[in-house]
Amino acid sequence: MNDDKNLMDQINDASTLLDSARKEIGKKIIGQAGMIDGLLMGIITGGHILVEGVPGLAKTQMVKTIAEVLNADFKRIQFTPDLLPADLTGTMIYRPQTGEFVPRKGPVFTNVVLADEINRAPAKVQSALLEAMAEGQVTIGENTYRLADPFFVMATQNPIEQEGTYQLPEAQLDRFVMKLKVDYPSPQEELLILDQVDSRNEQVLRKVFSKYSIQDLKDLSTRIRVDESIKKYIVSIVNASRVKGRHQLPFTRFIEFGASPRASIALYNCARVNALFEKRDFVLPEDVKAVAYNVLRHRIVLSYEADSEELSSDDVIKDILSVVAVP
Amino acid sequence: MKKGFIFFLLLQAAFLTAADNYQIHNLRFMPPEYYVGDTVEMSFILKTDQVHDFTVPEEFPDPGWLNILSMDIESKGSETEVTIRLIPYYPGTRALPPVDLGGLIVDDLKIFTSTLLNLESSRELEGVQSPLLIPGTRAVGALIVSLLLALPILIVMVYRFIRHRTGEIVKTYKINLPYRQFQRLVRKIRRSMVNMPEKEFYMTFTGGLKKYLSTRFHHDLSSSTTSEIENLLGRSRIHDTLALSLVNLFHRVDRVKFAGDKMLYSDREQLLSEVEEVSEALEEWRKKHADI
Repeated sequence: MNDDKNLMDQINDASTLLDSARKEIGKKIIGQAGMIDGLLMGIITGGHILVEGVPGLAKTQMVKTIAEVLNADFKRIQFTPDLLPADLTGTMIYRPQTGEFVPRKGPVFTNVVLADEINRAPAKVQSALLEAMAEGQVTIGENTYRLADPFFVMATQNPIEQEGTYQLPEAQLDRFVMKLKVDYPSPQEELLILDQVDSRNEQVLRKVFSKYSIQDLKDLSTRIRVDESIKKYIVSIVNASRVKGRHQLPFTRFIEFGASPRASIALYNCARVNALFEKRDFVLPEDVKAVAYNVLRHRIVLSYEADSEELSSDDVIKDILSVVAVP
Repeated sequence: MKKGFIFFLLLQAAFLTAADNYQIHNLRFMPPEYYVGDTVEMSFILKTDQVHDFTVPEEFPDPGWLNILSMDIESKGSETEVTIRLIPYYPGTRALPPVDLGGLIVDDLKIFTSTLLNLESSRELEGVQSPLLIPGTRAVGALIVSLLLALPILIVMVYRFIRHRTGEIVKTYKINLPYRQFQRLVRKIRRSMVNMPEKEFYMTFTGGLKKYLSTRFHHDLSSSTTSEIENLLGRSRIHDTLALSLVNLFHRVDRVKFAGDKMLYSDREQLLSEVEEVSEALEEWRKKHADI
């Protein structure tokens, strides 16, 4: 058995903490357990999350609630076609009193950002957010400013209204550690939502992470053992998505472009956090499979053949996972 | 035409015999038409003016072209029915040699023997030949023909039977093949596990076990995780204890493979013994439930 009792104790403590966080979030958000875990996973891995779902599924409410439970600052940016990069990052403004330009920081200078309907803003705004997400810093005028730590972006997309939207470029999509799909709640969950309509705003949430920082969870996740065979398994999965032209696998014709090495890193990190969620100090192939859909969904560009056969990325990922041997 | 001619000749014969104080009536041949070598039964009614005590001659005349087999005389009041069984060996119309019936010599009997041969061909006497078909030949022939006709059906039936049996044997062989292969793998691992690195041992072990279970549950488990295998076993109809034993094996091996747990040599031996027991139990269960 593993002798690292200290690590297991810490994992159990972290698990208790995460359970408390889930419980607090559950006071305001009914159901959506997968999405809550996805968001927590994104925060712990230091990545950013893209959420796809129709309006009215409590996406904003969820991010707000998580920020509150994490004891973090929260800002929401509604992306519109007339939005400018400066509206996001900030700009230099002139002060008549002193006669000089001073920086005015934008809404990205916070811990948790909700980039609502990100695909409604033009590419230049998306690029500004891209820099913030990738570098953790923003340049205003001649100065570069570090963003808050933790810095977490949850961007949302509406899958049904595509008119007047700007498709996110693959390079930007790749910056998101995961793409989550939010679905409608079940009828039972919807009944509970109705029961809580009047009392939801009165709920006072406990700041669970006041004593236990997110950085500690990050550090803890990095101590979770990943065997060499698991690493090879991750690489095999990502590599299987890049077999276009080799024609040895049936799904290759549905893939235009495969996943980048960022996908391997994201799978690696998310699998570790998943093991943490499962109260384990080592990663199993189950952890890799559990996060594979969310991690790869937006990284695999489908071919026109996949579109013509009405296949989704999830269908292709399922095929990939079914052919890659588990160690 | 021919019959009419015979009838005319017979009438002539009957007319002439009347001059010798006897008359021949109702001359009949059985069969009516006969050929060279056929046995013919000739019968007629003999009428005489005087009473005679007719007797069958001790020796029948032998003219060479004819063989008289037997003769029967039956008195019917004033009439006498004579029946002569004979074999003619010469075609055409010929007079029978005189026949002494004991006091009355009948010498104007004629017979007409049909022939298959051209009448213009040689009329040389041929020696008596053995019959073409020995007795029972037709029955044997019919039997042979029947057998020949039934032969394809018999061959098809035998072929089907052999194919069915062979198919069953091959099917049984194939069904049991994965288990035998797995047993061989376990034996191979047991022989070489002393020098086998720990990782290699457990990778080989789970690889073999997954391959074996894949054949038993008709689902490729090579890309399945332990949780997925557990779900599959849960959905199958195997006994819970058996499913749990299999899942526990995978869980224990997972800890060695991925968590870095160390296991002693004895643990390996125990693992192999356990997997042998579990696989044997699974085979027993499979035989009872063929539709696994």
